[in-house]
Formats: sequence, C-alpha cells, structure tokens
Amino acid sequence: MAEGRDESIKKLFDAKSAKVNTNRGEEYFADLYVKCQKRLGELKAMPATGGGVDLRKVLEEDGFERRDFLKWASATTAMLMLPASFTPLVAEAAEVMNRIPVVWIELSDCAGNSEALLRSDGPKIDEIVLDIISLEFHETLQAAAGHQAEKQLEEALELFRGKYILFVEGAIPLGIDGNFGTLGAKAETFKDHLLRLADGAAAVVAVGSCATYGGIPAAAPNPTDAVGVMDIVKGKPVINIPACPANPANIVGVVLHYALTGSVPELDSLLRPKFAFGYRIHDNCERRAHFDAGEYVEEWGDEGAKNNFCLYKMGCKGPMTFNNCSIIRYNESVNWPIGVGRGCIGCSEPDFWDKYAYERPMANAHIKAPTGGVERTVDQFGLGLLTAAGIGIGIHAAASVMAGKKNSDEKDA
Amino acid sequence: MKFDYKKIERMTPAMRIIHWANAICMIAAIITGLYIAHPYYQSFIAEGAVDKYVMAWNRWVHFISAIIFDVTSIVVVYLYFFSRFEKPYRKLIPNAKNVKEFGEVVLNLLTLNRRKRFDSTHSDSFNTTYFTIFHLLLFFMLFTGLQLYVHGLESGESSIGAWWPAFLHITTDWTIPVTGGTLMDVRIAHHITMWLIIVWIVFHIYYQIWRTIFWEEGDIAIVFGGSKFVKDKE
Amino acid sequence: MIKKDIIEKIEGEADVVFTKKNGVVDDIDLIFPYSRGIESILEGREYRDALVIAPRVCGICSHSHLIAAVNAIEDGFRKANIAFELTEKARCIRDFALSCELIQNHIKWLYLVILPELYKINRLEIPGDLIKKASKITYAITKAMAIFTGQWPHASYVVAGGVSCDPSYVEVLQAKALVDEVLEYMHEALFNPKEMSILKDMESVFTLLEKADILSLCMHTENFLALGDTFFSRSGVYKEGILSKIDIEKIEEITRYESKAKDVLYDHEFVEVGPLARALINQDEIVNGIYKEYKSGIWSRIFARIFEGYTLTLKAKEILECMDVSQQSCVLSHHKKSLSFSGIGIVEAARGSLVHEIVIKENRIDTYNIITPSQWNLSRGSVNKKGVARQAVRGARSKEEAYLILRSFDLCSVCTTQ
Ligand code: HEM
Ligand code: SF4
Repeated sequence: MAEGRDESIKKLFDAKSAKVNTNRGEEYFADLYVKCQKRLGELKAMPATGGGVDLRKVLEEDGFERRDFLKWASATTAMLMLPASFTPLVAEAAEVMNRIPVVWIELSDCAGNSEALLRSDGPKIDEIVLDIISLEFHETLQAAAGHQAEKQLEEALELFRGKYILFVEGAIPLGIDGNFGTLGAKAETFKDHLLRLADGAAAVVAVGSCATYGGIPAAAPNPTDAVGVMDIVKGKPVINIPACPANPANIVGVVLHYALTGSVPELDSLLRPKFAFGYRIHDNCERRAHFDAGEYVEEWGDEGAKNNFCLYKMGCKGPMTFNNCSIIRYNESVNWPIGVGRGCIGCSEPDFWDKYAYERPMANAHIKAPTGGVERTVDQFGLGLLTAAGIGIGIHAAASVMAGKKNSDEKDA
Repeated sequence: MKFDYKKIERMTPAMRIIHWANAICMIAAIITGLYIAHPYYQSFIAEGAVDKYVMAWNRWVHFISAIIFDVTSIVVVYLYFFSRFEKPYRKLIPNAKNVKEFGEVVLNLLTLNRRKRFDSTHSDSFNTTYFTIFHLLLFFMLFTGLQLYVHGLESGESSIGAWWPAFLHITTDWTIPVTGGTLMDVRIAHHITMWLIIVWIVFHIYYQIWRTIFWEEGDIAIVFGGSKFVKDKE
Repeated sequence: MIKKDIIEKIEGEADVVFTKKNGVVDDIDLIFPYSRGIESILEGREYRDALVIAPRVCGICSHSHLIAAVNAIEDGFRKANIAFELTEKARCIRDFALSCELIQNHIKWLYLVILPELYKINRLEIPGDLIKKASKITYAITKAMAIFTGQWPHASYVVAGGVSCDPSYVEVLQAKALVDEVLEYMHEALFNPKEMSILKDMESVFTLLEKADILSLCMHTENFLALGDTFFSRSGVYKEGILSKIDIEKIEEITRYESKAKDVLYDHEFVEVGPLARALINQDEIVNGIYKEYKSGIWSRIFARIFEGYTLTLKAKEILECMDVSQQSCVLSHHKKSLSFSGIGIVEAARGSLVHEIVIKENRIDTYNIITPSQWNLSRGSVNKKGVARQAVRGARSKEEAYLILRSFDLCSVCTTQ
C-alpha cells in the first residue's frame, strides 16, 4: 500500500495536470486520424478471433438500420472526446473490434458488473458491440465449466499472448496469504491468478470499484484485506473503470479506443480514462440549477423532492465525484440515481464506502480523531476546540482581573 | 512612579490595510464557507431558481474573499523578507535571543503580567510566531480551497485563460495525497482548518485586548492608527 | 466402488466435488472460493448506510437485498413504536421493481443456463440466438425498473418510510409500454394465455428433458418453505403435502468451519425455497398439477420458476395500472434522536426467502445477519442428514445431469458466502 501511495504522489507531480484536453488543435487530430486509419487497416487484415461474428449482420438481424448505427457511432465519438470527423472511424472500429481478444475474469465480487454489462444493460448497440468483441474467456458467461474451461483459458492465453486485453472484475483478497479466494483444482490464489493472466496481457482493465480500489470488500474493517488491481499489477498499462456497477458505455469506450488507436486512452492520476472521469457528476447534473439557487431537498418525499430540488443536503456527493453518469446515465440511458431523487454516493472515488457513501452532507460526516475512538462531525470537533479555547481564555482573563485588582489594592494602600 | 509616554510606530498603512482586508474577508469566508458546507438557511421563495442564486452568491463571495486572501498572502510573504519597516522573518530564526524573548513573553502571559522582561517597543518573537501560524493556516486554506475550486474548471479553460486551471493543478494537487487520498479528505481538511483559524482569531482578539489593559501601552490602537505608546521611565 | 471425482467449476465461482458410487453420483460437496465479510463491514455503521451497502451483497439480486434491508429497518421502527403507514404508491413502486428483478432473473436463467445445459446433455448444438432472446426481455424489463430505481443492478432508491423517486404519469406509461413488450414476447414464446398451455421455448425445455429421460430426476424429501407474505407469495411450510404456518423462531443457522457458507435449517430440517416452494404454498393450481406428476423433479422446478416470471409480469402490469402518482413518496421524516431497535426483513427473492436481521444500538448497526436463499438450498448438512441439493443430485447418472440438477435451483455462490 505504502508503495502505491508513493507512486500516486509521484504521479500527481508528473501529471501534466488533471485537465481534460478536449481540443488539441487540428494538427494533432489530423495526425491521429492517419494513425487510426492505418491501425484499422491492419486490424481489418487480421482474421476475427471470436466466433467470427459480423457486426453488420448482427445489427441487421436485430432490425437496426445503418442510420441507427451511425447515430450511435457519433454519440460514442463525442463520448470519447474526439472531433465529429472521427465518426466513420469509430464506426469502423466497432466493426473490427472482434479482432481484439478479450479475457474476462472475476475475482472477489458480486457479479454486478457482468450483470450490468453483458446480460442486461447498456445502450442497445453498445450491448451488441460487446457481444461481438471476442470474449475468449469469461468465467460467468462461459458455457464450458471446470476443466474444460480451464483448458480453454490456457489455450487463449497461449494463442493471444501479448495481445489480449484482460478485464478484471472484483477485488483481490490478500488476507491469510490470499486464501480468502482460491481458484481451480490447484487452489491458485486470486493474486497469483491475476498476476499470471496479466503477464501475457497487452493491457489490464479493472472494471468496477472493487477491481479498481478494492471496493466493498475493502471497506472498513476490510475483513479480507482486499485491494484493487493497480495495487497488484505493476509494469503493465492498467486502465480503471470504477463505479458500482461500472457503466457499460465506458467499457465499450475503452475497447473501442484501443481498437481505434492501439493505445490506452488518456488517463487521470487514478488511471481512469479522462473521457469518462474528466468531469464531476455535479458539473453536468440536471439539478445543478437548484444547487446554485440554494433550493435543497430537506427530507425524503418533501416539497423540494417533488420539485426535483438539489440533493446536496441529503448527502449527495456529486461535487466530489468524477464520472459521466450525469450524461450517459444507466440502463439504456433511461435514468440514474440522482434522477430518482437519491444522492450520488461517490461510487467511482477511492475509499468511497468509508468516505462518501453516507446519506448526509459532508459537514455532518463522522470523522475519527487521530487518537481513534471518538467520532464526531467536523463542526462538533471545531466547536469542541473553540470551547476549549474559550475556557482557557476565560480562566486567564478571570485570573488576570484578580491579579490586577490585587495590584491596584497594593498601590492604593 | 510616573511615566512619560513615547509614541512609536508599529504598523505601516499597508500593513493595516492588509489586516482589515483579511479581517473582513475572513468573516465573509467563514459565513459563506459554513453555508457551502451545510446550507443552513433555505430559500423557499416562490421564485424561479434562476432568480435566486443563493448558493451561487455564497460561493461567489467565498471565492472573492479567497482571491483577496491570495493577493494579501503574496504581499505578506514579500513583506516578511523585504519589508523596509520590520522584517518579521528575523524574529523567527530560533537563535538564543529570539528563544529567550519568546519565553519571556509567554511567561509574561502566564504570570498575568507580573513579570515583564522584554522590550515591547517592537513586534516580539512570540507575536511574530503567532502571526506566522495564521499565515500558514491561511496558506493551507488557500491550497485546499483552490484544489476544491479547480475541479469546476475541468474543461481546462477559464475566463482568464487556460493557464489558470493548469497552474492551480500544479500548485494544489498535492493536497489530495497529503490529506488522505480523496477529494473528500481535502474538503474535510479545509473545513477543520477553518475551525483552527477561528480559534486562532478568538485568542488573537483576546490577547490584543489583554495587552492593552495590562501593559497599559494602548496596543489596541496599533491596528487603527498604526502606533502605540511605550512607557518611558524617567 | 467409491470414487472422488475431481473438482469442477459451476456458476463461475463455486467448485463442486463429486463422489461417485457404482457409476452414479452419490454425493457432492460445494466449495466456495471466497467470502467478503459483508456482515462485518456493515457492523458499526449508521443504520441508514445499510440501504446502500446491502444491495452490494449480490449483483444478481441486488434489489431483493435492498428491500430486505429496508424491511428490517421498518420492522425495527414499528417495534420501537414509530408509527407509520407506507403509501400505496411507495409500496407499488417497491413491488413493481421487485417483480422486474425476478422476471429478468427467471428469463435469463431459462435462456442462459437451463436451455444451453439441456442442449448439451442431449449432445445437440446450442442455438445461437439464446443470448439474444434473453437480452430482449431483460433489456425491456430492467429499463422499466430503472425508470423508478435509477439503475439496475445496485439501485438504492428505497428509504425508510417510502421511496425517494417521484415518478410522473408519463414515466408510468413508459414503464407500462415496456412491460407490455415483455408480455407480448412471453405470449409468443412461453405461455399461451388462453389455453394456459406451454409454447415454443417451454416446449423445447420439456422435450429436451423428456429426450434425456430426466423429467423427474432430482427428488428430495419434499420439504418446502416460503417466509414472505408479499404481493405475490404467502408464507408457510409445505411438508409431504401438508401446509402449515411458519414460526420464525424455528430458523436455525449453523456455522460450519469447513465451509465459507453457513447452513440454515427450519425446524431441524433442510428445506427447499424458491419459486416451486412459493407456488406450492400459494396453492397455485397449475404448478400443483405439475407437482403431483413430477414431484420435486427438474421439470416442476423449471416450470414453477418460469411460470412465476410470467405471473409476475401480469402482476407488474396490474401494479402500474392502479398506481396513483399523486400520493406521498415517503412518509417518515428523519429521526434526529438516537434510536435503538432490532428488526427482521423478509423478502421473497428470485431464488427464495431472503432474511436480513438487524440489531441497532444508538443508530449504529450492532449486528447484521443475512440468510440468503441459496444458503437454504445449498446447506451441506451431515452424512446422515444432507442438504436439499445434496439429496437431489444423488443418483444422477453423469456429471452433466448433476450439474443440471444443481442449476435447476438457480444457485448463486456470491450470495451464499456474501
Ligand atoms: C481562509 C478562509 C477560508 C475559510 C474559513 C473557508 C471555509 C470554508 C468552508 C467551511 C467550506 C465548506 C467545506 C465543507 O463542505 O465542509 C469551504 C468550502 C470551499 N472553500 Fe473555503 N474557506 C476559506 C478559504 C478558501 C479559499 C482561499 C478558497 C479558494 C478558492 C476556498 C474555496 C472553497 C471551495 C471551492 C469550497 C467548496 C465549495 C463547493 O465546492 O461548492 N476557500 N470553505
Ligand atoms: S444533486 Fe448532487 S450532483 Fe446534482 S447539483 Fe445537487 S449536489 Fe450537485
């Protein structure tokens, strides 16, 4: 952990700044355009690795028109913060995405991300695009079980060595020498499993907050000593897509970006792609006007709640949370937590279970004194401090007055 | 015993302006900061959100005072080293003389003015240290506050150019790991430090009044007229 | 001849050890790879925080855990003499969302678990459109749900005393259109509403089972339990054909050191929970008819589950139709003073009865205990008294058959160990 902290500090200073650079000038994009074209050409020449599914055909079968697809492509281009001229390239990238082998593993998790992603959710075309990425191996979705699956995994690892993207869902429990989580006949610990698979990967993508920071298993008191992927995997590009559950659109975005450019997207200091985690929820929140106006929901179901007032006083953590759910939302963009009147719990931030996910404003957050034990809100701490100072001053003042009286008595005498 | 009073200058006009600018801004920053932390009054007027802007005004006032603090802080740092009047940094060097003076002033306070063995014609080293603590707290406020602020400029642009957010990131991003690793920790640190400053202020005011009464040298006048009177023993 | 077979993986995470005797499966042992210690994470936090943490127990039935948590808190409030009555609207929204979670779960299970497994057993090629069929329904239904819940999985729109959302009539209509879409599909592929007969995909299940000669494979002691009195289920025990009332006190949880999961018993016996149990206790005529013929065999279990998905879709539509959006969303204001109470929250989740038990001391969670549906079905027991699933796999002629039996309970290893 200490090492991770040091590294992140170093990174903070090396980082060019956390800003989201949306406009790098024409020259840059012209260059990128050519690079992407070349890359797509190469990919096209490669055989599809999965079952050889053809996106065009799948879309047609599902009754999507080319126009729908292009609409999706232009929305995705915008999401990736590329200029509109890249739309045809993004569309093409989606079509050749099945050339990129993907291995997906689940560690200590609740299956919520796979659930959000591969079975139920995501803008329709996102989902289909995901269906056709060549998932070489997925533990939950795998039709094969047991030894057969393990064999399949070994084969995939060998065949695509150095090329596949490893998606990891879930935290890595390190407690009792990693024996909180073991896999397979050889009882390999999660940590060893992850390291072995990461070794041959082109990049490792941590999906969800558990894989990114340890998430719920790592919440205090962290019974299993769980950590995230970036604490274990070193010397490989790691991309984090936190949130609980991770938003499918962002996962697609990462794969697409990789297909398109052959490189990982620009990341912030927590290794999150800036196209998704560059802005705070609060910056694009539909209730922001009410925040500025000072109109807040004070109680669940009150008049303010009926009028969609801001949820800041109900403990919304949107102002300190980087994510794009206020723009792309969840479940085919139908809604999102703030949309149903529940504040943001900061699920894409580190340690959010302990530092964000409580249902009260941050001023009412309970914080522990450095000595441990006492738990008070910041204001209670502050008022305590002030009272102590006040008492000290009172005593000093009273004593001074007494002393002063004595002095003048003496003088008078 | 009879005293003659000699008038001595303790604060230049510039210093007094800074003092009062800081004082006013501090009150404004505390009032608005507390509102930002927990909006304690509710605007339930039947008006459209656009016409009210209660939080926005609070934040505006808060940031304006912050910007004024920025400027005064920079001037203060300059004066610490290059003031032609009094160079406070000299009083901070822990040499024998300063340490002794510091101890004497503390003793003076603790013995309730029974013992006063130092020269009160200039800012003593206890006084200077105490003010330095304030400026350090204020700097911490500025760094954490500007860190919270810069995330509203995440497009990388601002009304005064792209250099401003970039500059703020470079100068304040360190507050995240230092306070505990998340933006929330920065916020809590910002809030706690406000209380430290309030405690500082309370003692500051008390001490000035106490000095005025017990030293009988009109210390409280320093901050208004710039000078006080020192007893001149005949 | 007893042969311990090697470990095989099931449902992504759990490992199964088979013991074979004379060529048929004699016993199994389930090994769960990890536990996260969610209960101990909950302890010490403020009780309201349970409403955001509880859904994260399981990504597959997150909403059921949410409702169980809020039920436990509300039960505790009532026991602490805090009087309130949920509005019809709040209740409707919670029930609607719960139906949606069950529907999508059952349908996914049919297309992604049962059908592929059946094709495999018959050595037939798995049709390529199963995933598409599953996602068609689950898209629509989770979307309908998210209109009220904000997101699925891991929604947290429920608060003590109601819900936080305040849907407009337009949103209700939007949800209704989505439910209609699902119903239409079900009437095409699963059930014929007029004759109450099974259609295409359900027929495939039946013929595949018949062909493999396993329609009534997988029997156990015929002991069923449902704990929840809800809008779609009644509580009761159904033992060898006799229905009786439940007594919460008879639930017993036993920690077994060799496993990361705890055993649960009712009245010293292992019981099956889930859709089949619910239908029998509800005295559903159609399911009862099938049960008479196939007992606790695979077909009864599959039918009961999918049929429940169908009836819930009808219920979901009904709920939307009678929802009055003008009512209050939440009736409780936040209690400033510190509270101590204990409560039990029961929910009939996709896989059966889910129980959350809480003890709150001065607003803090003192103990939090979760009993999940899979725990009931997958309890180990001892050599003499085996858990339900262990009884059921006995006699399976191949590993594939044993798998199918296990999966007919729709197991969830995440929930089992938490
Ligand atoms: C030295 C005097 C200052 C005091 C007493 C003060 C106090 C506060 C307090 C109490 C809060 C609320 C924190 C919470 O939510 O718990 C706050 C928030 C904030 N302060 Fe300050 N502050 C001071 C200076 C500054 C400075 C110099 C800046 C720099 C621009 C600043 C920027 C902010 C920002 C951006 C917020 C968060 C508001 C939001 O995100 O909406 N503050 N301040
Ligand atoms: S609801 Fe949350 S994110 Fe939206 S404006 Fe209010 S505080 Fe910001």
